[in-house]
Parts: sequence; C-alpha cells; structure tokens
Amino acid sequence: MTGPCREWEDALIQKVSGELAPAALLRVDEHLSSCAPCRAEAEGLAETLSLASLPPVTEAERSALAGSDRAALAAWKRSLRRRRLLAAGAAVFAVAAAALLVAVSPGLIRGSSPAPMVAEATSWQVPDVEDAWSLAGVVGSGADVADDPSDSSDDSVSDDALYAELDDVDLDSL
Amino acid sequence: MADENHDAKSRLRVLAGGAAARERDAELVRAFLVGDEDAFQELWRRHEATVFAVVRRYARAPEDARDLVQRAFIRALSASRRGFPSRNSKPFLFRAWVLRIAANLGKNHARDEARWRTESLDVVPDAVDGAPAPEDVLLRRERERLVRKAVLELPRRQREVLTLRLDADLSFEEVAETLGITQNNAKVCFHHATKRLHALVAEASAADAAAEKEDRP
Repeated sequence: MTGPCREWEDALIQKVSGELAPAALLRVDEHLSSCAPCRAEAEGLAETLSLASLPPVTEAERSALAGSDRAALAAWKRSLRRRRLLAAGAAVFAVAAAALLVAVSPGLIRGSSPAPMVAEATSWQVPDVEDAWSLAGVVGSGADVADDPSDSSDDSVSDDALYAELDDVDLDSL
Repeated sequence: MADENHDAKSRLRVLAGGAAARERDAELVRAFLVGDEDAFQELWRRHEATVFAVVRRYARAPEDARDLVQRAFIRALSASRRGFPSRNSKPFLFRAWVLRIAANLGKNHARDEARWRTESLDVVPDAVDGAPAPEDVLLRRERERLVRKAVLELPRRQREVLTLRLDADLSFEEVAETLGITQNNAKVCFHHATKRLHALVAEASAADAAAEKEDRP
C-alpha cells in the first residue's frame, strides 16, 4: 500500500486540527473521497489527537473543585496579611535603626560639635520604608512581597518582561 | 451529557473571546484589587473551567488540579497588581495571563512530581468501571498512556500550543494571544506536535504488528 500524497500531508493535519476554512475543507474532502491512502492517513492523525486528548471531567474532579473559589480567596487574604505584616516589621526595623544611628553617631564622629547633630536630628524624616525595602532587593526574592502594589514603577513594564515573569512561576511563593 | 458539554463550551466561547470580554475581565480585576469580593467570584466563574482544563493534564489527583487552579488565579491577580496597565493603552489580558500561568504551574508540578516518582505520569483517571477490560480496550489505554506521556515530553512551545488547543479548546487566535506568539506560529507548532505524535503512534503500531507476527506459530 502506498503512503499518503505528499502534497496533501499538511492539509490533512490542518483538517484534523480544525483550522481549515470551509472552502479549503471542501477541497480536502473531495481529495479524500478518491484517495484511500490519504483517507487512512487522515484517520490515523485524528486517532492520534484522540489518543492525546483527555477523557471527560469526572465526578471526583468536579467534587474536588467545589468551593475552591472560597479557598482561593482565603489564600489571597492570607497573603495580603503576610505582606502587611512584613511591611510593618520593616517600618519598625527602619525606625529603630535610624534612632540607633542618631543616638550613637555623636560618639562616632570625632571633632564635631554636638549642636549641628541636634539640628540634624530634629529635621530627620521617617524614611520611605517601602523604597528602602525595594532597594535592598528583598522584594525581588520571589516571595509574596514581590507582587506588592507599591512597586508602581512596574506599570510600564514591557509585554516581553511581563511574559518572562509569568513564565517564571515560583511554586513556593504562594 | 454531550449536549451539556456542548452548551458549556458554547458559553465558554462567548465569554472567552472579544474585546468586551477582555474589558469585563479588566473591570473585575480592578474591582477586586480594591476589595470587591464579588468581582473575584465572577472572575472565577468566567475562567475556572478553562484553567482547570489546562492544569488537568499535569495533575496526578483532582486535589492537585484544584490547588493548581487556585495558585494560577492568585498568581495572575498578583501579576495584575504589578503589571496592570493603568498608564498603558494596550489591552489587559487577564485570561491570557491566568492560562499561561496555569500551563507553567502545571508543567512545574509534573516536573516536581517526576523527581519523586519513577512510574510514568498517568494523570487523568481512566474512564473505567473496574470490570476486566477486553484486549483492544487495554491496547487503546496503553496507547493513550504512551501518547499522553509523549505530549509532556514535546518541546515546550509545541506542548503549550497542543494542550491549549486540545485540553482547553482554545482557537488558534486565543492560543496565540495566550502565549504571546503569532497565529501562524501557533499553527506551525501544532502541526509539528501532531506529526511527532503521529510518528510515535505509527512506530508503536508497527512494533505491535511485528510482535504479533513473531508470536504466531
């Protein structure tokens, strides 16, 4: 038995993948009606895709999915709480570090009079903790904080960068 | 049952495509990110079945598939917070994001599972009632295992295109949108994947035929 016609091979795959326009489909079907090897090939291709396909969804799968939206919502809320706790912890740490710096710096800087230091201390502002946190590279670790909305500079992220990020899914980050 | 499936697919198709559906997704994501939980429920209803269809191939148990669906949604919403194009005129593609994330989560899950198990990944339960299967049914089941395993071993892009088309029933336009490639590219990938699997099946059939011939007295 001879094989399928070479010039029709691509069209046969297009037919079984359902991508042929009606007019092209008609042409392929006309050819199949008169060519047994191509017919066998088309049936074989369809069978291959059928073997590759998954069976219908089972009752067990439906049951497993029931109520999972609520669980997902609860997981989302937990991750938000973690983010807030982390941000609060970072703020406390930054304030404590700044206070410590102010307290010990007169002893560290020799030859300087205390007066300017006092002036500096009174004009000291609470640092932008989220900026400092971000600069420290912690937000790039792949943890939940990586998705912190405060990281608004990413609004202009390119499609390529975004797709690359979507592809790089860290399973442990959720 | 078949009618139900057809209806469900038709509904899915209406929801899936078009600028209106994309805009609705964007509205829902925006609403959810400012605290509207009903918006989350609607997003879930709109995409749950398709996301589940995408991860199903990679999950050993229904509970694994459920967890992957949940993770995909949360991950897509997290990505939305960072990449939401508030100053960008490009359309927001939540559906494409969540499906792409689901495919990657699924593949990672299968890879991690494979590290701990030696038997082949036979993900989805066979539709059997426990009765002894006739030989041809057994043979078909064996072929299904062979081909499904081969699907997981396809080059990444071919696997993604094939599974989005077969499992999630996406059009080539939607497959292309989800993967950020051209429609033509998606069709070429599908073409190569089908050819590769078909060659594998032909090879297995030839081997079976040869074995049968040898067994004959």
